[in-house]
Amino acid sequence: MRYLKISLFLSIFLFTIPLGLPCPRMPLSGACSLHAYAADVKGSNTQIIEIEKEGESVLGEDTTPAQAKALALNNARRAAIEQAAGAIVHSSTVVYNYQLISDLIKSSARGVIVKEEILSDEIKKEGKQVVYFTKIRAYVKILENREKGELKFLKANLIRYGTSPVGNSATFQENDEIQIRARINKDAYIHIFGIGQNGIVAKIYPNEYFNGELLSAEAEFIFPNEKQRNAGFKLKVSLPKGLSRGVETILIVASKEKKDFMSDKKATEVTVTDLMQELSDTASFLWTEETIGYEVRR
Amino acid sequence: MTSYFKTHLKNRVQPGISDVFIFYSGHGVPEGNEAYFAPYDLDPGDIKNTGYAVKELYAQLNDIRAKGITVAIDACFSGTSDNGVPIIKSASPVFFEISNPLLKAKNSVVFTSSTAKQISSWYDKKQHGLFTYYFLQGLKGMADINKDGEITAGELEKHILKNVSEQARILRSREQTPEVTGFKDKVLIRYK
Repeated sequence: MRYLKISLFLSIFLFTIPLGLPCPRMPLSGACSLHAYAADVKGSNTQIIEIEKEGESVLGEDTTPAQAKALALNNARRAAIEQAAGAIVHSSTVVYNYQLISDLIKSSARGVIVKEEILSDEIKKEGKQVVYFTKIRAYVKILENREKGELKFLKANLIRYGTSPVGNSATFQENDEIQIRARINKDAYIHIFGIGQNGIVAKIYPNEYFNGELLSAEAEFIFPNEKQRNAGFKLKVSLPKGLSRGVETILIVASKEKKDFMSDKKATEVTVTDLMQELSDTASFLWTEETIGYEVRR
Repeated sequence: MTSYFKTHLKNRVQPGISDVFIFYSGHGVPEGNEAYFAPYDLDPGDIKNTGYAVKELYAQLNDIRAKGITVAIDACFSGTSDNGVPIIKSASPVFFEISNPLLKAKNSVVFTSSTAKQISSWYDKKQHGLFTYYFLQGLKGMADINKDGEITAGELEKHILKNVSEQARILRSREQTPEVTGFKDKVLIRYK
């Protein structure tokens, strides 16, 4: 969609041009229609694309109806953003694994949902499976293609306290104490988020107890460090309620400027889409990210 | 007590400048899962309304934005945790486990004479609470382990833990384990 050339003079949603283009790919079932809007966002010409997408989620043994509903909605959002902004699709997995979140966050440099409407929301039986379907109409803001900056992670690990890191993923037992370690090539501020497999985001650092300090280039960032641990603060992992196994993600963002992401939102309401929207408001060369997947078992 | 911490102390603290020190030696009573200070007019039949919740003290102190805070409590059931369980703040699926009730207040440290389930003993011979006696002895210089002329919270913790636990067993045949949480590098007293 970034090949579309439209003269952009008017404010958002003033006129609509149905383009009638074929859907480039359909990772999830459902109808697809595209409309491009002329828009002026923050003083720069930006396209808003309207897309209808359906997301689905299988109600498995380890999934509650509420989780299936959230997953279906997030899958619809993911499909809409991928189609509009051209994110890389690795699989049609229905849970938010760390690779999927990595792809989604990367796509936030190119497109983000600015408005959405839920068109339908239903549970269907397909053979032996019970599937939750959600259909949305999403308005995806296509951002200018910006070059990535020089900021990059030299290291990002998640470890059980007192052990050494093994690869870019880890397995923990419920209630294990963890530590996050990272190193960046330039001076930057670190932000850490925990993302559940239902796409709900929790801000981990900075927090009400510890402010984000500027981390020097190549210095090791450890959270919580020994001083913070001794002060009475530990980070632990838990399982989603009612499950015996959970796959979760830690997202670490490094930003050149001091930022306060998710400052005005209630912790239980922020989805990965909301976070992407906030990240997309920051020029992509000013931040970089790393995702780490981990599994929690009972 | 409520009025003092909520209004008087708050009004007198200069944010980022004042270093607050609070010492309480007296009765402590449990009610449900909470510990209460027992003022002289406490009604044992209505602890919730006539006592002062330890939790309430911490809530007020977290709010005063002092440069540093030191709290020392010599009272029964004064431990910082409810039945030994730390304060859990959910940020699901990763959660915070917080054992320091004054973590939000910067550079703070909390000393309690016993855990949330223990009795705090009296030291008849010294006319002090056992914890108070060794707390003061440590501050006078006995806790300066590395002899650098400064006593940190961590040094005082070692002095108190060793002596209070030992003397409680000898004098009273009971377990008394003081708890110290917070910034243990905090310098409590300097002799230079």
